[in-house]
Amino acid sequence: MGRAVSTVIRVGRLAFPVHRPAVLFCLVTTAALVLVSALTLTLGELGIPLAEIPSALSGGAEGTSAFVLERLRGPRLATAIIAGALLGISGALFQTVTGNPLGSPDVIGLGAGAGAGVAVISLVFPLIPSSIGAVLGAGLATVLVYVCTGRGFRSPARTIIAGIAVAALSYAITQYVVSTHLRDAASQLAAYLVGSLNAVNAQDVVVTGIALGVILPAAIAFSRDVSMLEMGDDTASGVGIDPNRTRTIAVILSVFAAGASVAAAGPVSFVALTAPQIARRVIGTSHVSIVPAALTGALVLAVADLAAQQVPFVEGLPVGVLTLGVGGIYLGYLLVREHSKGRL
Amino acid sequence: MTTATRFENPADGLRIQDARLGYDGRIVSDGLNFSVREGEFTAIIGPNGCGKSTLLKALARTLKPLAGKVIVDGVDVRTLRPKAVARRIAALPQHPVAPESLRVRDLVARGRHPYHSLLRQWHPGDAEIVDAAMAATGVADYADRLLTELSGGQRQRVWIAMVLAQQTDYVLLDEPTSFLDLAHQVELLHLCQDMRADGRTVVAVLHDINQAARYASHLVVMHDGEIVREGAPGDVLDAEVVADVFGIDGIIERDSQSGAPMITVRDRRVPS
Ligand SMILES: Nc1ncnc2c1ncn2[C@@H]1O[C@H](COP(=O)(O)OP(=O)(O)OP(=O)(O)O)[C@@H](O)[C@H]1O
Ligand SMILES: [Mg+2]
Repeated sequence: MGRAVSTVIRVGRLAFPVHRPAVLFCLVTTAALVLVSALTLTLGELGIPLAEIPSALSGGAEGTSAFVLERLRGPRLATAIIAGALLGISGALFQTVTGNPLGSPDVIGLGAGAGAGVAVISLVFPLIPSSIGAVLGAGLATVLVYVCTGRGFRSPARTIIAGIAVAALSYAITQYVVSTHLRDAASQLAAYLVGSLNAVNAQDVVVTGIALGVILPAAIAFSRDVSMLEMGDDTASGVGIDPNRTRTIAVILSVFAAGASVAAAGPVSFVALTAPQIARRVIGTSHVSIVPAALTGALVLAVADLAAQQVPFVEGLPVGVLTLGVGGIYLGYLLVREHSKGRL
Repeated sequence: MTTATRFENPADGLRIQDARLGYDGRIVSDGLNFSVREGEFTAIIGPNGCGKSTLLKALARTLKPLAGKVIVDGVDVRTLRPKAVARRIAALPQHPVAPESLRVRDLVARGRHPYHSLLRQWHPGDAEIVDAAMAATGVADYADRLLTELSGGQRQRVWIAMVLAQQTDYVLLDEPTSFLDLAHQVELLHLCQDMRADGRTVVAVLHDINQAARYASHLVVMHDGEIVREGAPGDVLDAEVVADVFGIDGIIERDSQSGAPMITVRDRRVPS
């Protein structure tokens, strides 16, 4: 619309205005993602030689390269990208609904809830797929936070405090389930529960891939309506938005996105918090940027996982420990900033 | 421009019928009946907290009546889809929230949202409509500035531009002149008159009684959730209503140019 920073993308009868800085941002993050992917596949002792990558990707690899690509690093990289994208989407939607960067799924205990759901389902009802547990846990945690604040997600301070309580409760449930059940299964879960990509397989790629394939287009189509909520409920409904319905759909999409991500990678902390914020700050737009947030989430998780595989000292650590450390610093910064703006 | 074509049949208009309006546990208006006068510029006046915004929110479908209903074109607005209502009625609340890092043009463009669908979020004519709305409210000069960088009055005019871009037959404005300096207040009131001349129906909550009497074609006086008087400004305003509703000891004079009633507050030092 107009001369400034927007362009309209048209496909047949479909038309979407997009911000040019957002398009540029997406191109740059995609390029970075390709670079990180190449590094992930090629670095280190088991790395696939760069020259073999094109043929390996088209199915022509043999021996070690095939094993590394299909079993070892391929699924792990794909899951990092997909799970990171899902977390970015989840965070972008949730932060807009709560009207606060701190109202992120990871801060309010959605990830912890999903983790508890996986722990309970996989150890107590092993026949039910753990992804169902993740979504149920995430949903239950969201409902609990919503009820505990007494006024939905509108008050950031209450949302965060209720979220801390719900997260603590979820960890308690997880610990209880883990410590009262078989030790070998439990020890595998322990790594998973800080967020880890060490044990992912092709099935995880398929499950999260399907989730992303469904949630991403829905979130993109819906992001305009969600953006309108930032003008306040009355103004939004003046231009034809149903604020409550919009919030509900956004929260449901967000819960499914976070749940699907947790099901594969565990409750990786702070990607959902940071990715939408990074995207938003760099682009400088108020519209909820689903695709940039998704790409940033993918990039953050892929970089963290590359570090977890290759960087001395942190090598071999679950990826969640890395994001926890870096993201925790950012959370502290946000808390101070929001407090000084008087929004807490 | 879409213009109102339904002056003839009153059943087709926008009205509130036997409504009880309020918020959890607090009833503001009960048994309220009100029909918006087609093709007029109506000003609603009344003291703080008397229920003006509540009435406007009910008309705009934002507030669900606890009983009774709001009817537009002969149907209950609650049965219509929000976007369909937003193509008939544009409403600017008293306290819109300015989103961070949103540019003026993009905010005004949001007025086109009721005409879009999930898969078609832009129309070829949108850019011109948005430009025209910005020109009419005098905000075209800062089309590319951030909303949060504008003064209160500039921002207010941007919100009005958004409402204009909605191109509705009904335009409901809650205190559109607050934050504006006198020149811009007058400009806005002229804009309301222009919209009326265009065939639109305008309802605005105003606090300045004299401005309401001078510029609006129809006056509604509210008190304690009830509509106590309604009619042409010259018929509605007298010393009695001013004393009863606003608690002001005033003298009614005539505006020398328009002949509209004008209130002067009696000086308390001058014995009557
Ligand atoms: N969201 C709300 N929740 C509860 N009560 C409300 C709410 N909004 C308004 N009220 C109450 O309803 C009554 C009418 O409010 P309303 O906003 O309609 O007044 P108003 O005539 O617009 O006043 P003002 O001139 O100050 O804008 C007031 O007593 C107010 O306290
Ligand atoms: Mg009001």
